[in-house]
Amino acid sequence: MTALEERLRGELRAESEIITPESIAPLRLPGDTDHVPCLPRRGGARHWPEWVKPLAAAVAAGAVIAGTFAIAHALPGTRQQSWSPTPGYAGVPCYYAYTLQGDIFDYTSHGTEYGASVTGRYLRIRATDSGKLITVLAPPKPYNNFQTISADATGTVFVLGAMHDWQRYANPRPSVFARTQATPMRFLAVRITGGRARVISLHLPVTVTPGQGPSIALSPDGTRLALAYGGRGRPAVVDVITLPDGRVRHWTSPRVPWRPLLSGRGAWTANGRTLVLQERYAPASTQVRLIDTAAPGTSLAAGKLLVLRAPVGESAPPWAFITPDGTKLIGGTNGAQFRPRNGIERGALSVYSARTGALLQRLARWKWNENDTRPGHGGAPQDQVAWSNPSGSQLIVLHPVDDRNILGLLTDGAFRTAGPSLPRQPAGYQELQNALRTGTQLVW
Amino acid sequence: MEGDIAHLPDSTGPPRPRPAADAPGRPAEGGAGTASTAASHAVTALYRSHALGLTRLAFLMLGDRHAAEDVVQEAFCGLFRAWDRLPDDANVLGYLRVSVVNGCRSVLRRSRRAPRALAAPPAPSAEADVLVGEEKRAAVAALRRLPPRQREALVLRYFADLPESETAKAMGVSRGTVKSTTARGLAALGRMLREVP
Repeated sequence: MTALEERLRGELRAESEIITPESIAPLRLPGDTDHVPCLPRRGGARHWPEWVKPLAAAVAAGAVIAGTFAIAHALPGTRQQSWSPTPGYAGVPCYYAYTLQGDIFDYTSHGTEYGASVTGRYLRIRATDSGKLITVLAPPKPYNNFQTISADATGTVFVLGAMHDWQRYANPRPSVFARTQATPMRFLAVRITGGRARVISLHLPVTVTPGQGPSIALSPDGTRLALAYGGRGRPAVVDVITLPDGRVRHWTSPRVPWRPLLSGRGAWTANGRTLVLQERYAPASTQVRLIDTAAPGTSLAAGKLLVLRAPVGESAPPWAFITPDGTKLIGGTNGAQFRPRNGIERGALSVYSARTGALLQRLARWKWNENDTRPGHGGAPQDQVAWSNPSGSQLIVLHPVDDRNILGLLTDGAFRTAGPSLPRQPAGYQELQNALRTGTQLVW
Repeated sequence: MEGDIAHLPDSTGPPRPRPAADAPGRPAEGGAGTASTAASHAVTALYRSHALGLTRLAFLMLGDRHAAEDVVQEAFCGLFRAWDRLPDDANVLGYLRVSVVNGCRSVLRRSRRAPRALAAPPAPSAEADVLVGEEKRAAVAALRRLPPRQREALVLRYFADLPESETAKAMGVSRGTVKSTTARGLAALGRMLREVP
């Protein structure tokens, strides 16, 4: 017997002792005069009148038909009409969603206070133009963390992946929580129509657990969901699920040491054909693979592998945003890796060719003094691409300026805080900037 | 009350009284006939011997002591109803065990959710026991996250100490299925225990 078997045997025995001999209630058999807790059928088998049987059969058949009809209308993947495509990439999305960190448990154990925090405790959806809060969502119980989110190009369809994080151990004394990676994830969709959000439960034909490190990317027209998972010693897998009918395209690799990752933003080209998968990240280079989802084959190796090398004195971009026309990959690079002694960091947005992976251009170089003590200044620089026009010549970015992260428009390398694509209403601008600064994930 | 199914061979237990030849087929029907009285006594004696072990078995499968008690009560009521139909050499404990396993499956199917958290055990509250208790809870909590069939197999094999053949009978599957289910359950349990920080 192995150590695990021994342990299991001992713990089962110990656990079973919760049931003590004194706690066993006396047996109450049928025919006892007082109330019986168990309710066996008195008088043996039940005899129904003959006329009840055809009636019951008809009712059951009707219920089956009605249930099938209801399910067909309720679940995406069973009827074409239930999951209609959106117009796809056209301009700035109408809505955006972002997740916020939060504690799910606070507890005291032996005089010490503990908290268990997750990165996606809540999700907020706001209107781009006005900043109006459309909805706040928490994962359905017992799920408690939105681990991954994605949106279509119009910003009216969002897909959310919820995980059950930090399970309480069975016995509440002391309250002990364990991070769990084994509960299958649950996926939800949110559709915004007329300023109202409707939450739909997605029943995907693929089951993944948080331990498999899943990440998702919704196609620009909102009809296909890419799901990447696996790796770290197992095969890396990318599934593209067609939501209206549940069809799955499957790409895989042999066992690999890296984790396949999809970015919440800028993972698809506007035509919904090319998908960017990040394979490896190291300070010297980032490896991404461009998967042509229209080409036949099931091997990830068939995709084009690009190595995005770090500019001199900086580290490679941790994420690569593909421009909607599929010609460039853009990511923030900086020198924080090299720990400048004077506290001054430098960086820029680096533009790479999506054909060769070569560094093409450096945009909007910035300098950041992490020791700036002025109110609202200092901290950590964030250089994020939030949106791009088709060619990448116009970007909406959160950009380090004067030791603050500012929302603005980057046009041919020039940064400004006002422009045609940015939210015109002050509240819209402020809320989007705030979401980019504070959201643990943001999709737009 | 004493007894644990882990310590009782299947053929033990009080001898089954034969119902009288003219006894009705349903013991409860018609009041307290000779056969139903004898059956009642026999089933009650069996309950005294095996209720604790079976309740513990159901509790480990369900994680809910009240549901476990109900399942065991139902199993004995079922035995009482079927008493006159059982052959003389019936493996009564095996019959009860199958009833309990099936009852647990029904409860889980009805509830459509994971087993509820356990009530606090009447354990000593010494600080030194806490770490041991945490270890214990870790394995049991991991067991509860297994699929029901794997949990059944592990509980029957390692709590009830049943051989593969008896586990197969209790679960209504083949020996090979028991072996594979147990192996998969142990592997999953090992993985989950390694994930606990």
